[in-house]
Amino acid sequence: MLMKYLFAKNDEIPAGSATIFFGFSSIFWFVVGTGLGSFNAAKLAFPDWVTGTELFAFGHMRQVHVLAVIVGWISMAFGMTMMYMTPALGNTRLWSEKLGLWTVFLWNVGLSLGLILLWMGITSGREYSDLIWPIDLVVIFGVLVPLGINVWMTIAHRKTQGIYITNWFFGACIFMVTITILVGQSPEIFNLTGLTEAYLTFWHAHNLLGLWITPVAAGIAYYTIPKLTGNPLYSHRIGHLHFWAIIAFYSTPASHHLMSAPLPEWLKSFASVEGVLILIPAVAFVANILLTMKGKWSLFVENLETKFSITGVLLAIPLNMQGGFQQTRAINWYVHGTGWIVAHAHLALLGMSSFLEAAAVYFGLQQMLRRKLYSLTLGNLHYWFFIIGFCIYWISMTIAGLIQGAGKIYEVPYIDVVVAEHPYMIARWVGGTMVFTGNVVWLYNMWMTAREGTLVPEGRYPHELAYER
Amino acid sequence: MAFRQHKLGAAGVGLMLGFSMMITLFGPSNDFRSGVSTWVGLDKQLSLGRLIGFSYEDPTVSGEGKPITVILDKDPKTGAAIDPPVRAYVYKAGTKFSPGINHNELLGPGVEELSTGIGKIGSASMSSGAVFTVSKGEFNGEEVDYIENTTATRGWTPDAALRTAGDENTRYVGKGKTIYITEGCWWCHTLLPEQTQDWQAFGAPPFLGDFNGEMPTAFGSDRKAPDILHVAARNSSREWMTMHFFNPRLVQPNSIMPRFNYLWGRTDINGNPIDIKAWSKEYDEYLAGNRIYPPEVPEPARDSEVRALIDWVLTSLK
Amino acid sequence: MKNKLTLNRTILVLLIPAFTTGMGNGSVFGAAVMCAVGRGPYESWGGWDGEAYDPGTFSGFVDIMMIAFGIAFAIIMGITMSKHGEIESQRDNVGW
Repeated sequence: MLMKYLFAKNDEIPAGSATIFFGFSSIFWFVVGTGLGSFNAAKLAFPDWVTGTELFAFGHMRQVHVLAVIVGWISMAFGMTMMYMTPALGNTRLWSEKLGLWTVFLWNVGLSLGLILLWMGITSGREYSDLIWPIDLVVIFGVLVPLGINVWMTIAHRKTQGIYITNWFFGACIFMVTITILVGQSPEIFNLTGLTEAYLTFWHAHNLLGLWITPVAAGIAYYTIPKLTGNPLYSHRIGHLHFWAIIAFYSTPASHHLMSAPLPEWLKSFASVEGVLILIPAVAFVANILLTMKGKWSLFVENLETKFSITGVLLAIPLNMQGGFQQTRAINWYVHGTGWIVAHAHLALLGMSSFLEAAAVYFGLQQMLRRKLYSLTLGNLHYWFFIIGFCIYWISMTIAGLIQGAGKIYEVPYIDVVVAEHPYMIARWVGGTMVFTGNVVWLYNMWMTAREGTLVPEGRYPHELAYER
Repeated sequence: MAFRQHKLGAAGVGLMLGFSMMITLFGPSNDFRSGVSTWVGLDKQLSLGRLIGFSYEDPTVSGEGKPITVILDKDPKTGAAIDPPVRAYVYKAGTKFSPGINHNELLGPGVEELSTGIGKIGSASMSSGAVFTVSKGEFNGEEVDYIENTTATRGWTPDAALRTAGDENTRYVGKGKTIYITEGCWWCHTLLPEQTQDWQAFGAPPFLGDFNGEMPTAFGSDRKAPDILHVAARNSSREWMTMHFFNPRLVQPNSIMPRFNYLWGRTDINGNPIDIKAWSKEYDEYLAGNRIYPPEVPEPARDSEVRALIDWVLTSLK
Repeated sequence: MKNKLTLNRTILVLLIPAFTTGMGNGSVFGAAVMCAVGRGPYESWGGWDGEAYDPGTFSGFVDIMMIAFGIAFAIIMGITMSKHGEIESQRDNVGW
């Protein structure tokens, strides 16, 4: 089907095709990514489980899990939401459905290739920029630039007067993440070395999260919550405070990842202060969304998409509380490099971000397929597996991290810390496996929605309809 | 009016991002440039070569085209004894030079002048190969380490240096670090002791000039295992390392490190085939209490990946 | 209209976000407190087994603080939601 549309005329491609292909790709990569995560966690809990081959060695799979989830699931879900939210907010069609389909095609091909190479150990050895630079050039020029052109042209051709806050986020973040990856890859392409390389690695890693994953996820919530509840956004002014504060404060604190490296002290202090200021956009975002729920809080209990969305927004509270303060010198000293940071990273990506995107993918796929969700029961099952699995993971890793931090401060022999962490490693595996199971259910549910979901009549929203089944 | 909004917005975003990049990228670049290479920094870049990880000379990241570190106890040219033995970095013909040889400004003020002056690194040629050492000199009244191109200053050729050292004094450091990167050791071990209590357990944190010319630095961020920047200073036993890499539970029952037995390749040092399945079966019997001793760990072949990895750990991580 | 946000209806879906929110904030405050207070004797690092939940130990204190914050947040959110539902039920909010 995809192949047929890739060479069709733009006008002959049904609207929403790019959204649908992006949506299913993202869910597929979510299943792959969380499956790998669960397998990796098992290897940490039971190191003698599968041995004797480099194919299933932890060091070969860890980065595949990370990038499958970030570039596969999260970023493709972003692509999916951009494909349907941007035109909807501009009261127009997507600028080019065909370009969108080419983007999703190149994205899947490039990512598969990159991940296979990574799995074989062909890597650049730089965290979050593990993909070798030729693949990164594919990501930039085959994926981000076409995606950006599509979004920017759709915004430019909009039929509304203003630009809604979601589109501000989409347009700006694609631009900023392209710059981030270009600069972040420069050590590999131009062979920059030493501390410059180390710093650019974490400059890239930080900005990938700060200028892409967090703000785009927030932008999605600015669309889904008003749409699902029918309430107007509480305040556009606060939304813009959020948007501009993200660009001002989130693009600067990269060096707080390297507090113990011999970087210039002024840079570390600057990063620490800017890191606390991240609380400004964070509070603006959470307050704006929660106040939008006014009068419609019962949807949090009754409506699946709202449940996902609001859970994600609520998880942004501990996320930003941790993020703002854990990088100050005092707390960083305690928690740096421990499982706490792993927990925090999963709170951002699996907690806050993934819940917001899952809501948008649920909503967007139903909207574009014009079919109501196949089974609410399976949807709820997904939600509960997802949230309980995440909580087990997050809580166990936070406690493991605090124990590890105490071990660091008390100079406990390292092997004793490993022994103390063992039960939490098992809990982490259980939690991760629950999330994976939930996602398999989700993929099935969405597949059946596309095939057998109740058709949604013209002019109605899927979530307004009662279930016929 | 409608059009103005996104034009103004785009300009604003660009301006703000540009300003933040001025501070966070351009600002620290001056500080980085003033770093004077220490002995550690020079040793690292000379033993690791141009870069580790994916590159033109090593597209499969298996450690090809890397320099070889040798410990020389006699002069390769004259045969005179050298005491104490000197560490030399052999670049065979065609091996890409480390960044500081071609881009001298990376060495930092002082080191750059001495290396290009009395060190004669400018006359080293990639097509015929070269042997480098790190020597001590004086610059503006301060002692600095600098790179010496011994091919030019003392007439040491790569072939002669390798022959003089012999296998027991040859260390495949560059290849070893490549294995460290490709096997993902750095997902659990860090190379960055923190400036806190880590001092006592893991040793001193690195200095500003310890990284000049190194790529990638692979500090690691997620510490599921001890910091290993100075591990060879704590434990320098090749036997322990060999057993620990084959199956960490042989020497540390509570370890969660994976077994790296696949790095041994197909045969051991004597050419006998290695049967990992049979070994694991015997090891399981040992765990079940049916054997008194665990099965023997095969001795790694000379060109095996694990030998290079252990070479790197024992030579560089002191 | 009747209160749609009684504790019975909201408890399940509230419990988990409220708990994680509270525990996240509690862990930050706990870690800050322990960094300010400093460490005690070696025996009280609080790593192994039940020690990790003994408030007398270093890491046990933070863990207990997390759990206390979690419970507090769950109670606060439960009360807030049911009050919110009461206010909503008193006025006609349909199609707000």
